Amino acid sequence: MFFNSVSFAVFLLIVFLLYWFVFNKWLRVQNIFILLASYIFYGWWDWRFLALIAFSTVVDFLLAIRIKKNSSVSKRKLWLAVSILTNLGLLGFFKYYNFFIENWIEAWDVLGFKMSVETMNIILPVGISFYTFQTLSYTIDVYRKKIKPTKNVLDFAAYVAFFPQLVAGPIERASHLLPQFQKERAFNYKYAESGLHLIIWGLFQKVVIADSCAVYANGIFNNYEQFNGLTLLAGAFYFAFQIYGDFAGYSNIAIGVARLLGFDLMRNFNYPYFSRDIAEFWRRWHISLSTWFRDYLYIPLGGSRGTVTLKIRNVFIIFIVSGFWHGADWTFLAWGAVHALLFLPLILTNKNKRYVENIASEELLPSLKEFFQILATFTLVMLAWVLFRADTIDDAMNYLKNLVTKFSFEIEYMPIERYSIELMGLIFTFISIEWVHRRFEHPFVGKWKWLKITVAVIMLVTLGVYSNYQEFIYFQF
Amino acid sequence: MKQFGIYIARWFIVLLVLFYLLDALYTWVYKNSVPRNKVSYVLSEKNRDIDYIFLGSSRVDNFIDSRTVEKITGKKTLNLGVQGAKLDDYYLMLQLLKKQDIRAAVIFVQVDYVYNMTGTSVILKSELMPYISDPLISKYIKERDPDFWKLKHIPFYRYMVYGYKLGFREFISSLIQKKPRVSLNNGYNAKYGSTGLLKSALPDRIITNNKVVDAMQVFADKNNMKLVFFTSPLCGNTKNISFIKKLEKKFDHFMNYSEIFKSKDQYFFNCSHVNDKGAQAFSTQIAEDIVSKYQN
Repeated sequence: MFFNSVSFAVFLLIVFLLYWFVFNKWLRVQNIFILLASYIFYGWWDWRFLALIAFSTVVDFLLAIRIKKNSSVSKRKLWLAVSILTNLGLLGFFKYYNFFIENWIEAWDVLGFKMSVETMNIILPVGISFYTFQTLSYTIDVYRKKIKPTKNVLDFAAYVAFFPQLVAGPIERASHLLPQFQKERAFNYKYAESGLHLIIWGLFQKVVIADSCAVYANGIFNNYEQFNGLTLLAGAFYFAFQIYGDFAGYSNIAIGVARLLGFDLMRNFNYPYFSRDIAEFWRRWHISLSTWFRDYLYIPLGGSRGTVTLKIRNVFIIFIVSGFWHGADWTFLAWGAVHALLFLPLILTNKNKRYVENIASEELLPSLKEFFQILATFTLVMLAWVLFRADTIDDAMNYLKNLVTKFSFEIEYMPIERYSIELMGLIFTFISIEWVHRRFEHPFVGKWKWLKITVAVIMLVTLGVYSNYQEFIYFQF
Repeated sequence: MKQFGIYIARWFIVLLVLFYLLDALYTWVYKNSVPRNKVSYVLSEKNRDIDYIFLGSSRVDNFIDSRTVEKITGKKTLNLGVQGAKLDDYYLMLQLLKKQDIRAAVIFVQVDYVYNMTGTSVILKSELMPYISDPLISKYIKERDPDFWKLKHIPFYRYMVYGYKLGFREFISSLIQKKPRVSLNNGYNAKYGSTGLLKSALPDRIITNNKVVDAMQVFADKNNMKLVFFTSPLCGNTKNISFIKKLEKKFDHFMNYSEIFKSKDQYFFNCSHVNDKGAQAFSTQIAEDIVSKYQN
């Protein structure tokens, strides 16, 4: 059940009506209803994996209580280790088993030993990387005594499976989301209205921007050998906006849907392509994941303190692990390593926190310096996306090589949907809209908001791609 | 909550009106534009005499250059092949020709492995969307598409679902009366070069009879239309070519061109489609046969 499908619209309408009109008098019933709705939502993909969510939920619920009950540090550590091993074990088996086996065989093959270990046909459960990280953060926070474990398994189960953010985040911390399940929720008109606006904007990002770009990006990446450098550059540009529109769109819809039910989810994207350096980019891109890694991996490793060697080690660990989180492939590891290399000069020169405030916050346009900083950062990010999108490292390298060696200014005709020039026009319109509204979470603000919504809806209807649903990219992670 | 209910209701009404307006606008533009596809071309013509009409899939669309046929036969010829079309689609085209009173001395219908198939061309179906209220087209879609109700009754739904063919770009092109890349007076859509993929396979078995072919023949007899079935060339590396021999037996007058280019790979774009060079050679061949069979 995709957010951009009719079935989800019907599902949401039913959930909304029952939630506010039938179950609104009893918090516990409301939470049970959310849990049920979330399991139906998830089961729509594959009901078999519901058991996995339930297992993860029960294990972490019980372990958190154990951690809380024990005053002995070693026992607390033991129960935390069980939680980490269970969650990472699930993730490791479903997501990384075949990767490790295949590479193990290949490594021996290189040394001249033939091995025949069978790989398994493992289906990756949708959203496993998201909810395991969510439950992990819960037990770690209980261990760190930042939060108290809940005694209500239903509240906890609803927190783990909360359908708006179950399959692709934002990865919520228990300290933020769990208490919201524990107190009465009253309908708030302004809050619900802002939720609807976020849904419309998210749909626009997904259906108009990401899906239009997807047609081209797929066409170019899948046949990159036959295109010239300019087309390959366009392909990387389209993919940069496909993945941004896709994931930011999903996140906005998720936050919007949660608001309709009276919940607040954390912001996941904050106009990342207007970043002035890589450090700022990572404060604005997939915020829930980057802050997760910061709090549960980077800082425990020592963060930016310690010797230069330690700093370098920590940066590489966090980015490579982040790359690996996205998928069991060398391309993702390389993508993470490239970002580590781009980030390193900033951390070593203590310039990683130079740009914390909003860019050109009082100005209509950025200064020339800021413009070139944005352009340079975007170009680096865009070229790194080639590694993320390519099927293999070789493909990525050849893509980048052809981009340079086969460069020509000839625009190549592609017999698909829109001409490049139209798509470019659409993307630059989108960039302009985002730039003008960069101080807000979505563009539907101010006295012209009605007009803006109407235009967005018209564009959604007339320019959106509906011929075949494009899956959200981040569902695979 | 009441305020939110009013807000939603207001938006629902705005959206509904918007969808109706967009639907009306798109339909009006598509119906009043210069014809930009073969369906709109047929529906824009009325009471015409054309000597030879070719019906079929891409194996007509990319194979028959009407101008070449006209040069040799001296007769007005029209290529109405549509990419991905199946027999149901040919039958609809036949009915549309009758409806528009477009008469032809002979209608040539390309058949091959499509004889074993049912279904419709997505491309042809998309081209039918602006005319969904036409009883004939409505009936055709209703019988073949489980989404018919939504396509017909939810405003603008048809243009969203078939956005890749009838989307914003096509709307603008139609609005500014932009002529299509392929001249519809000819209908020939050339392919150039070769993909090098010169391998294909036909089914090893043929079905006993195809109900649509039977219906087409009954319809043609009833309306004084002369149908001649034929098979366009296939590359030499086609498995189960005997399928065409079996097919030949199903028709009284059948023109089998499946093997005429079996040693001429340079004529093929891929195994089941010729390139422009092959299309010219094939159009010449079939035109000469038409002269000898139907003009003497």
